[in-house]
Amino acid sequence: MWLQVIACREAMTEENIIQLIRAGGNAMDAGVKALYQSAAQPMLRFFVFKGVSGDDAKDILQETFVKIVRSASSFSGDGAAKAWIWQIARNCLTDHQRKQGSLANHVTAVNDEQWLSLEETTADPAAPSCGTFGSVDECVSLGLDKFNRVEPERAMVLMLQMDGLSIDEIGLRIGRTMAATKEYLSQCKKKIQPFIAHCTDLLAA
Amino acid sequence: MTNNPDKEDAQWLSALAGQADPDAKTNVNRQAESLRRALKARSDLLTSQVPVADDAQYQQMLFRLRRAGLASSRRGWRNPMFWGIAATIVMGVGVVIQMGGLHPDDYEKDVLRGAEHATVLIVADPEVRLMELQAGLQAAGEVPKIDRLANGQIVLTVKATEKVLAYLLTQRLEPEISDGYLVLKLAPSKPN
Repeated sequence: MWLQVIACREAMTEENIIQLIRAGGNAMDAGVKALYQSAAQPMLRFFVFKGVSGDDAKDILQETFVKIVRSASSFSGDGAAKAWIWQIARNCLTDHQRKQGSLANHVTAVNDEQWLSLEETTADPAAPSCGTFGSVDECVSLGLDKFNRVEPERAMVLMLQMDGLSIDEIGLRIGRTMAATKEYLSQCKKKIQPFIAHCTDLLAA
Repeated sequence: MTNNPDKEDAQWLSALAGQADPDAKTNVNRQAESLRRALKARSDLLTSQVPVADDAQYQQMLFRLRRAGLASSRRGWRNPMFWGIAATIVMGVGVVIQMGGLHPDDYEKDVLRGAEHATVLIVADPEVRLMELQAGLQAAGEVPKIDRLANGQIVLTVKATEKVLAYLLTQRLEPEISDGYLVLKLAPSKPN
């Protein structure tokens, strides 16, 4: 039966799923099941990648589904249903992080002046830590760790890009349009440079 | 020397996604590929912590929806919980018949009085069942408050967390929740 649902879902769009949920009764059950099949695993992955534990990810997923089902009737249909669904997932994640008091740490913002400072300190080839890297990969890995501490959202987006997600899918997770997501990715490349550019010397070696 | 930042960004991002452009500058590809390896290691580590969205998780989610009054329980006799509840009722009726409804004393009054908020379990040995429930609830992260009544009944009061409810669901129990807590009353099938 589980496999049947997967097969049925192939032809079902998120708009269809919302319509089923709005219909109530058996249709709603089918809609919830189809939504679970299509969205549960990517959402769990997204929540964990955003820094929550596996158990908390399950709680947030359940809360997301409760809110989707509860507010399905208010979905206007003007926007894409998939974007609306992911918006709810992001809101639930934010609510959870706010309750846990982890949001402030998670959304560390770095202004332009701080970036200049970071570029000066992190990219300095004379910095003592640079001489201790055993390889390019170690150097880049350490740079990524530092980048993740100050820009976890951007590090996550780079991970999604590495995972091979389309611009559209990445945009759904971060709540941006395709064009804005492309720009955001370019910004991510620029922002991570101070953390890994100094590894270039090792690359050339 | 031409330098198109947009093109270079696209090439860098492609290499990051594992599709390096052979026409890109060597350093662009090598940096992106090295970053890809670092991100992959990080991704693998995180992926191992991602729960699997399997049927068990789905059932828990349905339970949560039902508790919120948002999912139907129309599966009726196909729902295993139906059989659990039915079996409990049949056993309960059996116990009452065996007792012959012959004890219009404190025992019966306690059951009726507690029935408003407590889920009453009529069991052969409340202490044994208590140990089982305590172990399960503690595994679910909660320590129940235990009260032993003079008539041999044991009352467990515990916070109704998701994990507790999920555990009780495995025991075929869907207790009523009041102010975030639930009450289970273990009554001996043969009152003291």
